[in-house]
Amino acid sequence: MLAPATVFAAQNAIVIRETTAFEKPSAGSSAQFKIKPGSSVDVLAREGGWKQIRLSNTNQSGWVRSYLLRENNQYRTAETDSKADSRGFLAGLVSLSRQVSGFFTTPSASTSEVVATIGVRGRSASSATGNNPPLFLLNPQQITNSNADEKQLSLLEGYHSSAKTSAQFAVKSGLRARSLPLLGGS
Amino acid sequence: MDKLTSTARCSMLILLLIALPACQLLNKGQFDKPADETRYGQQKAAQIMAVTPLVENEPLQQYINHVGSWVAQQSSRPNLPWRFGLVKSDSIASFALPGGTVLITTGLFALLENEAQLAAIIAHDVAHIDSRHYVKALKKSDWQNLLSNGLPVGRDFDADRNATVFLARAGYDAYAMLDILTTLSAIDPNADEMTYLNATHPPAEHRLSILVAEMDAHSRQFENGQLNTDRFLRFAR
Repeated sequence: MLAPATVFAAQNAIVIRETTAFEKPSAGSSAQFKIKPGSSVDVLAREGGWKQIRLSNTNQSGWVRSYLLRENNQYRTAETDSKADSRGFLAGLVSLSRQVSGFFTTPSASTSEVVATIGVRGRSASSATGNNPPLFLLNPQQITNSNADEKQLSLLEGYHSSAKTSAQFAVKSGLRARSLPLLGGS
Repeated sequence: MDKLTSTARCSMLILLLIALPACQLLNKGQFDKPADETRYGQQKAAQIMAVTPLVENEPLQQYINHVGSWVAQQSSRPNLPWRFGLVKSDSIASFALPGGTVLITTGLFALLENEAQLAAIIAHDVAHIDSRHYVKALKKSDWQNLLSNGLPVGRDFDADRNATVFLARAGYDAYAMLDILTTLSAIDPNADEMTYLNATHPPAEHRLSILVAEMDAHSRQFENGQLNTDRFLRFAR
């Protein structure tokens, strides 16, 4: 049997919102079954903007839009700490100084479309979990009242990557520039 | 001596008369040259960084600049002095400063799963700068207002649309743009980290619905892009 463009070792993922699984990677193919938000699935393959999935612990499989899934496995190997996202998918980034302690909930939505919600630790959540440092949030007024920090600007300048360097960096990972027109309406 | 002093005074007055309208023009976003636009954007970036400083992680900052510069090369303004910075803020946001400076908050960066999604965030801001959205908006508004309330309706949809093309031109999986919008749409809108994004952008849900339709209509040109997950994780961890 021919394999699709990209084949994964089966990875676990969670469906972000209610969706339909199709027989083929095309919305024009026949609809197989509905999937509820928060459902756990195994990702079998990827083709374009689609992923072939199998509902965990069942034999039901089909193709869904890739952006409706959040994969877990790639981050599960990362060492997590107490602040890590309970879903695991953000755990690999904790060392950056991120202090997200997310949670995955399915709100009692009154709308017809049910969406699984990613919780980002906010004041309400922090009061529930306790021990979180205060959030450092943007304040436009504070920004416009501040004096330009030239040292930061110099620092930023030092990180610059020239067109040539960035092209070499891109090629190193197999990226190749393509010539494509802008979409209509631009 | 008195004559010299008088000449000097006169020169200062002339300089002042020239400088004042120039300053007013800059504040109105009427830039004669790209260099003026860049200087204006850099000053605004320096104000932002005075409050939300750069993350002290040189390899990560350089990585973001490699990715950003590569994406910017796919725009119609590749020769701008493109600079990209990761700044410390829990707010989920990014800034497209006129003339080539892009700042991304750690709050937004923490949501990303792969290099294509990082490129998508950058591509959206590159698209704003490429289309001179802020420069045009400054003719009718002021910086304080734009910083607090965002661009006029429609500009973000345009930037999303162009961003997908920049991504595909760069060899990335353009569906990463939908991935990150889906993530944003799934975050509790009442979370404090979302306040700034909510005030300055249309709902991610709305952006998604428009972009999905556009990408569906041009699905062939978005085939076979890369995610570069491993490289992203090497730098992001």
